[in-house]
Amino acid sequence: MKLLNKISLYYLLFAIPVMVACSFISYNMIFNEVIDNTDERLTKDFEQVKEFLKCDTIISHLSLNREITVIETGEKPVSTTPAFSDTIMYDNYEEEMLPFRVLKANFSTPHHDYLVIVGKVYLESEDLVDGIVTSVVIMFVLLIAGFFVINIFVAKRVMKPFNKTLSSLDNYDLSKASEIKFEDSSTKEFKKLNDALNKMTDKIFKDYQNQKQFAENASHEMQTPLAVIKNKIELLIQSKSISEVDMEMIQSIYNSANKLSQLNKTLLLLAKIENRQFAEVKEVNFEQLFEKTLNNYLDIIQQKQISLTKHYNSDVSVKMNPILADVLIGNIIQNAIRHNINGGTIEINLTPKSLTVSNTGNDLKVNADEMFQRFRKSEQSADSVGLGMALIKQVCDINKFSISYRFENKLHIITINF
Amino acid sequence: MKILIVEDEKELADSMKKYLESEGYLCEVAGDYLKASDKVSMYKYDCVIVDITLPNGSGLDVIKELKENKSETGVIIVSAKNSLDDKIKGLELGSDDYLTKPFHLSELNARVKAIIRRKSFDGNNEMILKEIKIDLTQRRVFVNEKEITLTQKEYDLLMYFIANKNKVVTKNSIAEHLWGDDSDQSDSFDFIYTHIKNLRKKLLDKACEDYITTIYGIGYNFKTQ
Repeated sequence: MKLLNKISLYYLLFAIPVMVACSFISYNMIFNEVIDNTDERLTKDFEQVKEFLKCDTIISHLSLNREITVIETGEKPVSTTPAFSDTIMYDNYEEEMLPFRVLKANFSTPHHDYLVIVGKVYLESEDLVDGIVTSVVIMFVLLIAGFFVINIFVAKRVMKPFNKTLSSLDNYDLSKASEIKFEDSSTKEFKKLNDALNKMTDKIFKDYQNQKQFAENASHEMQTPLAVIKNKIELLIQSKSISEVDMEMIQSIYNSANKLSQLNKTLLLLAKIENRQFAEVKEVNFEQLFEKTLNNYLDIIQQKQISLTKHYNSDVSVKMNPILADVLIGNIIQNAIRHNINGGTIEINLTPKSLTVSNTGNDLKVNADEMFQRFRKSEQSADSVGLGMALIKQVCDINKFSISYRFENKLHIITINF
Repeated sequence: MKILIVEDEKELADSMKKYLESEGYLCEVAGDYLKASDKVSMYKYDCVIVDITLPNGSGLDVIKELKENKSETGVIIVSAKNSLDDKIKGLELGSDDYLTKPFHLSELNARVKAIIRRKSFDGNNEMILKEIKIDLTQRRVFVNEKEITLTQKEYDLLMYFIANKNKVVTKNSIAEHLWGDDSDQSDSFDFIYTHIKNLRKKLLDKACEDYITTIYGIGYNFKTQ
């Protein structure tokens, strides 16, 4: 439920008991007022009747009026104070039973004793209730309508900065390397919110930048000592006096150093891609790139007796960084060869919209969804560092290509949509 | 043959110096931009190996100074920065080759040799090593005057061996040389073995002496002595 509607709902919930209470109060007040009024008029009528009776005249005339009844009692009254009471009588005009206010009083002239009854139709309480209920309902409907209209207005005007803030937060992507600025608002709460968000995102962004920079710098700084280790080993093995046992040890040091170096190189590349250091974009002819890359591995493809099927849609050019294009295609081809079986197949489908590479291979050991995570690798190729797919994904992400992987009919299939 | 190594990392410079000296080159080392600039202006080198990032200056400026003097010196850029910018800038300034750190000494040696050969042979592109003769322009190989047909990779492998003859060349450096440094080398060892087997067979078929020896598990040596 929207915030504004929620607030309105509470207001309305509060309004209901208030209105009910008010209707009771107004009912009572109106009712009392009406009774007082009626009583006053009855008293006046009674005074008139008294005047008439004093003159002992026109009693017949008075009797004609159906609301006044004068009865001669013939005995001295105990009290002469008028008594009021409510009763229901048949009303000739309205032709139904109606509530009457009745004044009964004893009155004595020197010669006669009378009981005077004066009656008056007064306000029907049903009508009164109807009236009050109707007005309350109308008020309630007007309130709801009012809230509705105000909400629309408020949502449009007052909530605008909030919605703006919300949508810019929603669209914020930390890796897109841009800070967001939230607009100033005249509403105090929104101003506070935007200030807090500005502060927070600034900090997150800076931390993120620092961390990325750190990853890059760390990898970079590791390059030199690694190079020293590798080069010294290369010099060392030139010595003619090394025994086979020693050479074996040197070899395993050398292999580990190489692996570390490879790993570091790839991590550095990943960090650089993340840090958008490959900004230069050119039209890259993918067909040529594929041919060049395949040519490099042609001997391996032949030795593994892999049959290659290529479907190039002529002139597929993709706008991207040439180095990253190399990385992308290189890794895809390497993966397709490395994870292939002897006598397997590789199929390349290149269209202006998409690229699909499928290859035969052993069954999938890891979850297909986790395929693009770093250091995720199948058991057979324990020697590889397990960053190839992460690299492919990173390049696709930075170029806003969508990439998917699936394992179907014993085929590993990678699809990239440009 | 004189080579200047411009590199601020002393250990790396020493390794390069040692390896290249064992190949018979005369090597000097300059540890920063000023020393490099001095040496370049005072002496003549056949080849200069330049690191881009130097204390108090850029390796690119060293190349600029070299080229302003219309020097024939070959230039190899060595940089930890695997950035296209540096590579393009360096090549535009007239450097001949570009190597990314970390590199194999045998690879550096092969590149240095190729540059010096290009600079000094002047069109005469033939290389002779004992009974092996190589036409560098047409990439044809003759053993005892009889041509042997090599695949592209076998040819590259033979050239790499000859450049590093009498040196232990590691399998990793061969893999990197043949398939590029982006390739996952551990995969390629089997294929290196196959290539070497084929190359050796082709050479032996034409009565070439068997120069290729295996050095335990680590690599190979193309022994001519």
